[in-house]
Amino acid sequence: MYWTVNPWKELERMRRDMDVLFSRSPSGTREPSFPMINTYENKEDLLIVAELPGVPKEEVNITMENGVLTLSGARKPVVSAGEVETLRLERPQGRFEKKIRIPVKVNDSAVEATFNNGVLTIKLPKAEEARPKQITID
Amino acid sequence: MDNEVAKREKQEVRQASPEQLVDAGNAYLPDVDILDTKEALVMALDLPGVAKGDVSIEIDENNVLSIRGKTTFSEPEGIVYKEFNTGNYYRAFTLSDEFDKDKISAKLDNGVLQVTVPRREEVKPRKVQISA
Repeated sequence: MYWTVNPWKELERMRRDMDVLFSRSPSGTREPSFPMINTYENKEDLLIVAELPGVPKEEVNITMENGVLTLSGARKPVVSAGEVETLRLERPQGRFEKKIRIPVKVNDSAVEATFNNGVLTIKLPKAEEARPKQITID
Repeated sequence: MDNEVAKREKQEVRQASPEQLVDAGNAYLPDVDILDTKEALVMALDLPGVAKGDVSIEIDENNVLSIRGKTTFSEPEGIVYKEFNTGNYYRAFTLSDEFDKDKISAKLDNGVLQVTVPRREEVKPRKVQISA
């Protein structure tokens, strides 16, 4: 008897479909590099939100140069010393660097960052000339 | 009047515990590392946006360890670029009998939940001394 379809291949395909279903990235996008970021914009500010669970505040570097925001640092393994057998490793670890080009002029000296429960929020206030202006009709 | 009802409902939802709010159907699967130190299994789960008190860890009679996390991150308006969706987390693991259900401990730090599941005393590796 022949298998017309390879059942293992089918299972593998199903598993991949399931992964896509439960993935936190919007469908159709490729798996982003660590850390994952979202960007928001309102009239006054740009907000960059990065997920950095397990990275201590002191290990995160944020620099802004020539309109490019660089986020860098390192994430250490949870248990590093001693005899440890790794059964599963899904969390990215080690050094990371992510650069984000900021398309509008921002007020570099007024950039603020907050870190809550592993979520970093960077607020970049737009420069006066980059803010939308309301034009009144005379 | 309707407004009042809506307000109350919203509050009730916010006060709901992770158990009431989070199940496999409405949550994301967090990334996990599982390490075996011989003494115990150490699991680390990425739960960004989850505060202390918003995590529940349960183990049932079938040795299924389920972890739920309720996010406190509220998404700002005006999304322009998105790499991740925000929401609650749920993940479950089936443990073997060699672990001590009653001695599981956990801590949440900086968005990472670390769960330690110790082996039962009688199954821990023991060094046998050879007497002369």
